[in-house]
Amino acid sequence: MPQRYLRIFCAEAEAHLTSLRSGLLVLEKNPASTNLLHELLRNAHTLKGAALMVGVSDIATITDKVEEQLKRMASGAEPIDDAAIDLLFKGIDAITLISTALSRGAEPQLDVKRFLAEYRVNRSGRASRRETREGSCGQLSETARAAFRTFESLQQLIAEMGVKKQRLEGRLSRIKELARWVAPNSEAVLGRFRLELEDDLLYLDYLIQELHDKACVCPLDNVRDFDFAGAPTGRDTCHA
Amino acid sequence: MGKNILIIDDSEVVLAMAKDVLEEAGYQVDTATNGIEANRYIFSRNKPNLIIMDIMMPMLDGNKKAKILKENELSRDIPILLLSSKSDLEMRSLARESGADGYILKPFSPVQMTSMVRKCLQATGSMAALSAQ
Repeated sequence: MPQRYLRIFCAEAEAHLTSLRSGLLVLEKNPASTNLLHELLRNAHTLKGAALMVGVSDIATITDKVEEQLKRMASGAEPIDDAAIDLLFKGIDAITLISTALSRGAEPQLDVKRFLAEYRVNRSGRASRRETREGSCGQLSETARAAFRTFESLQQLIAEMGVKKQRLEGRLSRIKELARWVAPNSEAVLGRFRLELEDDLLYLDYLIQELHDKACVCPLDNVRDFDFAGAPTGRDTCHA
Repeated sequence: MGKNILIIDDSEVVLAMAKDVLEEAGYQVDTATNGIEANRYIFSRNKPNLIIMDIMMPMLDGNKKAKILKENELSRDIPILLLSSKSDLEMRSLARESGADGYILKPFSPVQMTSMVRKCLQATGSMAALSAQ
């Protein structure tokens, strides 16, 4: 494997591991944060895919176990408690150890087989005393929870649409003026404007589609009213 | 001029490897790390001939993005290959549900990647020729 790819991988792994660590600390305090859990899953899944690509199978195997556990937590099959978080941290520490050694060109001081066996035992022990989480869905709710990022993304798209619309209006006014004054042999200028307008229209059309699709995935069915007041304090906010 | 391919993946190393493989095979390659960033390439005059897209990405998952693109008349004609380390079975189902034209499993070899891309471009070319008749 070319060193260039390994260098990119190590930097990427470090970023994912940092996100996983900080995310787990937040999850420990706020176990109901399903959006955060999804974000952690994405981090683990991307890290696993990258490790597979560069052929670092030990990291891929351990990350697969971490991902599997996160999936079970996300589906409610495993509780999100201190013991679960501790176990995930053990996995992340093991991955960090291998990744750090890799970036230094050293041999990792970890018996992966033994680590995986212990990880399995810990998980089976937990499974035998599994608890079920209480669901909170199915009734008319006063509040709606959604990833702050979702709303932030919506706001960005709306702002971008507004800017595009203003530019489009400006160009339309200009093209109207030009049409009155332009010499018959200067049609190329108008032609260029028309192309620019077409580009803007293409993008605006896309933005409208994107906004519509994003809005449709917001779970609004059981919500009585919305209130966007209050600054975001974490990864999932947006109380209604 | 080679066909234009857009790769969307939140993994820098996957982007680098896929880009190198496809450029080596003579394609022109653009990259984006999420679906929103990718729109700059997709909704432009010089739209890509093929999109290769990871499944689990920030902001919007690849399979959802693929569905949106396939429902939009401005982008529905661009073939899409999903890319992931999920199982073969899962990928088949996600590709079918999203309307994607196929999938590539991670880890992929240069041969697997280029052969899948070539097949997909050929299939799209044949369909376009048929509909033009």
